[in-house]
Amino acid sequence: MSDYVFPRLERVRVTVPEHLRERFRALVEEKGWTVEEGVKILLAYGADRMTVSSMGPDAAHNEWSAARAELAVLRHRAYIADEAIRSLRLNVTGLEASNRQFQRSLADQRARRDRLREELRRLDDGDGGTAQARAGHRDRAAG
Amino acid sequence: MAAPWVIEVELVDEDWGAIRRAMDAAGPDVRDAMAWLLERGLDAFVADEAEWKALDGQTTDEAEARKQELKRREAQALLVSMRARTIAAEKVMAELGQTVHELGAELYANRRAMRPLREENAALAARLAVASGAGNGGGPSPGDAATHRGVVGWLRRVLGVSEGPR
Repeated sequence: MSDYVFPRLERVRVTVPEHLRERFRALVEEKGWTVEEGVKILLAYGADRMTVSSMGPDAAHNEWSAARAELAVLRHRAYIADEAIRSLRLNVTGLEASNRQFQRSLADQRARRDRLREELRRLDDGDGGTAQARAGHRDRAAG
Repeated sequence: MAAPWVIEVELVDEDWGAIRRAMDAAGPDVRDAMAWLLERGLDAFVADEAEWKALDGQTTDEAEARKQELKRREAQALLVSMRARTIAAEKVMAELGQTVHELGAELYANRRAMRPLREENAALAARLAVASGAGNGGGPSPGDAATHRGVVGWLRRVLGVSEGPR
């Protein structure tokens, strides 16, 4: 994750003035936007009107064509990303569950190992070391 | 007075720069330049929509040029929204990809830790069985007998065979 890969995103808080709320809500609903999309689109629309001087039809056509092509690419990229996010979230859930299960199993296996070692040690202590010696002897014989 | 309606959005740095420059036009008397620009944008958008409808069906050069400009404005504004939305989604995707990679490495390490433990436990259990057997004269341990009885009982239940006379 770095700014070398992705352009920086600025988080911006916009207060919708009270006298604007109904009109804003109505437009967003009519266009099928989310309120966040509505804010971004209208801020950009206002900025374009304030900062871009009018251009000839050819220049406008070229800019519109380029924008339309970029929009198509962005929509496709967003679709691919959304699909990947869905799949990756499933992977994360599955892997987290597997790792949790492994942690429990590892703890059980370690406890079992300690128990077995202890039992062997007690047996060994109980008959003067012959049990372990015999067991070791049979293990080697079996191997 | 209603509670303030605050909407948080993300904008690509470059687009945010253009919006900030436009906000400068608000002047020092405007308390909230962002709300001011939002209102300018809403007014302009609604006015352009009305103009688009009025131009519908007109095919003069002037009308076509005007329509072209209106389409340009709309496409540019939609781009600003879509750029941020796409980048945000791709960032989430990359972060999740990294998380999956880390969790996968953790799973691999867990598997690697599990195998020698199981093998060690199996070896210890075998040694214990041998050692226990040696300790009680070589016969089955009480645990083994209990296990045997349990298995036989389970088989009887599964097969529907009643316990015969002893």
